[in-house]
Amino acid sequence: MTPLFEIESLTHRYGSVLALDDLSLSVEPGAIGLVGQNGAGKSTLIKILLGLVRHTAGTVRVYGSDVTRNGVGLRGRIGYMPEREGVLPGLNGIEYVGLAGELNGMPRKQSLRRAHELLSQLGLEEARYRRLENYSAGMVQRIKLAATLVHDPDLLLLDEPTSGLDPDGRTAMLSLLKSLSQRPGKSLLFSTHLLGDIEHVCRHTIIMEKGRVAASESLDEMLVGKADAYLLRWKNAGDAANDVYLAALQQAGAEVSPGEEIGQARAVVPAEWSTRQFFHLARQAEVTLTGLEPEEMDLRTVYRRLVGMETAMPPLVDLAKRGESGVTS
Amino acid sequence: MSLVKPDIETITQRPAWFAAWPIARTALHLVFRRKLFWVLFAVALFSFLLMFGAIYLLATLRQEYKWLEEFITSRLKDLDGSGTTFLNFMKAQGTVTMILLAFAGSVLAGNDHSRGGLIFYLSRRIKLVHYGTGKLLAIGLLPSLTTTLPALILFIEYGLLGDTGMYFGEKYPIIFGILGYGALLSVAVGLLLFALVSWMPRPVPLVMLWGGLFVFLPILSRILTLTMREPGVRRRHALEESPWRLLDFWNDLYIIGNKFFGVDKPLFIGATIVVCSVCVVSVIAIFVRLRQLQHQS
Amino acid sequence: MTLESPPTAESSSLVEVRHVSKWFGPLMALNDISLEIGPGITGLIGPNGAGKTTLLKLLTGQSKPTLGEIRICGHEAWLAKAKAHVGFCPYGDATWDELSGRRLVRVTAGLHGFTGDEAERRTESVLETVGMSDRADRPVRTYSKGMRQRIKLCQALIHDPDLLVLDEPLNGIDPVGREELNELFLRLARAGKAVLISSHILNEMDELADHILFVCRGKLLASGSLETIRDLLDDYPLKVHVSCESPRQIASPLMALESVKSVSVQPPEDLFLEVQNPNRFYAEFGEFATTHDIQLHRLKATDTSAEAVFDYLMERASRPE
Repeated sequence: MTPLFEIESLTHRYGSVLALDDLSLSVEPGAIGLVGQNGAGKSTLIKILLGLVRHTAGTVRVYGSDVTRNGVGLRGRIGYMPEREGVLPGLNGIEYVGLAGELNGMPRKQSLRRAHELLSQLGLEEARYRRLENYSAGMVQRIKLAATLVHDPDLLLLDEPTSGLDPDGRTAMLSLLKSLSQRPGKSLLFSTHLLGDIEHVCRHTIIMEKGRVAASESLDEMLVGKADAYLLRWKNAGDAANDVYLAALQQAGAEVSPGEEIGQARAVVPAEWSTRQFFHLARQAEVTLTGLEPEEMDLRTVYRRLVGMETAMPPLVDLAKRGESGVTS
Repeated sequence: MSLVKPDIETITQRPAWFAAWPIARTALHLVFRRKLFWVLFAVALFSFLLMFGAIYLLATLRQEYKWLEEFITSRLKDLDGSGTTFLNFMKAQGTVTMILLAFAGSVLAGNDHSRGGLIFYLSRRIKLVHYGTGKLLAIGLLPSLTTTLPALILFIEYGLLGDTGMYFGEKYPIIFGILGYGALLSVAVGLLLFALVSWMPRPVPLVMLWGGLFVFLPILSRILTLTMREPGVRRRHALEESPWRLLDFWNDLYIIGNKFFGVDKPLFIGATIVVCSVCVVSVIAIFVRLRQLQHQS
Repeated sequence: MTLESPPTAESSSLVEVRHVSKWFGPLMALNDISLEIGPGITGLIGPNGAGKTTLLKLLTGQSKPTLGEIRICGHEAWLAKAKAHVGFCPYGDATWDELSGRRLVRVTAGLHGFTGDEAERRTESVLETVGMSDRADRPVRTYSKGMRQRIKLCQALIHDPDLLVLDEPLNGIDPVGREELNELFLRLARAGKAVLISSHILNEMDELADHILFVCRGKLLASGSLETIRDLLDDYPLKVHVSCESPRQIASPLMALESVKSVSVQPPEDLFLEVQNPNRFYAEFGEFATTHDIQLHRLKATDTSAEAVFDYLMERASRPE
């Protein structure tokens, strides 16, 4: 299968700023998340992939085709949804999406027909003749998505697609994106600051930092947790009882690190351990267990570690003891 | 053709140049949606209506008082049905066309720059040059709505109401004159406006600059001509031949336009140089600015 | 019907909202809202159009309620005396972006009545708190979204207010920045400030907020800690995910437990339970786990997160009363 992108030694400079620094990346088609700090080079990378910016050095291929030589052709296969701009006030919904289609080379009738269909499917049927400036935040995101889908692109490039949406809107958008990415032959690159969104939709994640790729892995590989580590939660029974419980666990052979709040802990257990002991010891300490699960990394922890960020206060679930990360660049 | 089910219809893809018309069409649409445009357009057509009425009146006079009609047309070149009539009509539409363009300019193209619409166009299957062409097409069409098109209608009216066969038989080159002059206006003014809009998309500064070019400079050129003329030179003479007149862009276009009607005016070469340089500088300015915006967006 | 945790004996209420309603013409944005906000982090959640922005406007004194009253530290919210206690970090960007960040914050200090050394000191202190000390000299125009948000926070903190009102404060901020700022909010809360955060990112609310306010269609439909609200939603039995080696074997014994309403087995190792009376359930389950050797490796309630609670509350809100 042709890789989605093949990027070799990509460097981009504008003025005195080095936006991308000898970046190399190869990714298969699928649902991909793109994360990184502001200034890490994400938007520059996206613009280069779209063929809108000519990079200083290196080769960039999308679907096997060189971006500098075949920018226009590739844009016909890509749909880009920018975060904040990209709306033409004064037009109504149908005209906007119809124009998007025509700009991609579709004849007017076909484009309008497809626009009508997409707007129905995205729940914008009633608002289709309303002008874009009268659309709510959620509707704006959906109409931009419709304009992105009108020419049936193989690759969707989305920049913060859930921006401004309320929780219901976000959930709806994320499910939609997930189902779009699962169509055969279609891919999705999703740039966002919300790691939860990426975990929901994407199978592969690219983490960028300072113009380079810090990690590019499938999510499953990234989130491999340490074996024999469990996270415990129990009802707060008072400091004394909690301490007793933790001490008992230590004594029984588990390495225990207390969590952020009372009633949480991480335990690394020896091979012969039976989980029943957690409950047994809890009962003895007069503590009621309310949660037990094998440790799974979350994207947030992986990200922080990769970006070299150590905060004074570890997040609630991941605790003082750090396991090995299963990540390679 | 649903979001999730496989497609049964293939999406047609036409060459990118086909996108220029939808871009132009959309830009014009947005202008036509504004009430202000229709008000200005009505004002622009006012003199057209007057001319229409005058020609009709002449035609009526020809029936009853032929001597009166002949008297008028021999005295007023502006009504004698020769090329000059239409040439001068189109020139006289200058002021009102400029006002119209000043307001339409930011809607036609400026909004893309100031409100983030440019990326909408550029992220699709077109290049900057297709976008530019589409916008120029829209910007160029507007002046022709107030100059070329009305002039053509007046020409047809003149012929139909007069001695049709003879008139059209003799005077048909006027059509080329009108179209040529009209095209010149559209191209030159269009390029200039697009260049300005690219650098100054917001309506108020644009109107001010535009006003400066088309109101202030002509006045300045007249003043300079008249104050700087050699003693003994007649006023009209100076106004035709003084190089200071080249500052008046619309006048320069008029001088070149005369050539399309077969009339040679003094300062032709100077005017041609001015207009060509303005066009070339505009093209470069457009190119540079759009490139800049593409990288920024 | 509002889901509320019972009022505590001592309510140190920095903010008191009593029977507040707000109309805009015929549109009722807020309908008889009463609440109290004290030190700690309070999360304000709700769908778009629910009235959250209106509520924030009332709290920051930009607008007066049509009915009812709002008091901040005892003063009515629109008075200058009250505003001295409130720091507001609004949603959009509207500043003089030719100024540098440092200058902008200094100007804000001046607006609050600080001058000279005091103003300088506060400016530097607040820039350091948000981590912008070394980056604040370029004009705001050149800043990324995250940096702008931090400058806005500086402006909200400069006068050391007791109440911080933050509207989507993490908008546009990258994952690392989010953590740093969340940490900042926690610190401020622990220092005794009331931090009110309006946000759509519910999974962050899970960890941050001590107290949640759920507003929908102008009404306050739930108020309390996440756990309390979940408990009060007793028409939604708790969903618990259990994993072990041989789920079928424990299915019936689990059904026998009084608190378990239903058990659904999903081979190879999962069981999904619906449970009434969570406290009872955990006790019974603890007992069960110690008496049966079942190679259990997961016990987890799956619908106690802010997102799940939000969904339930929305469902409840859309049911006809």
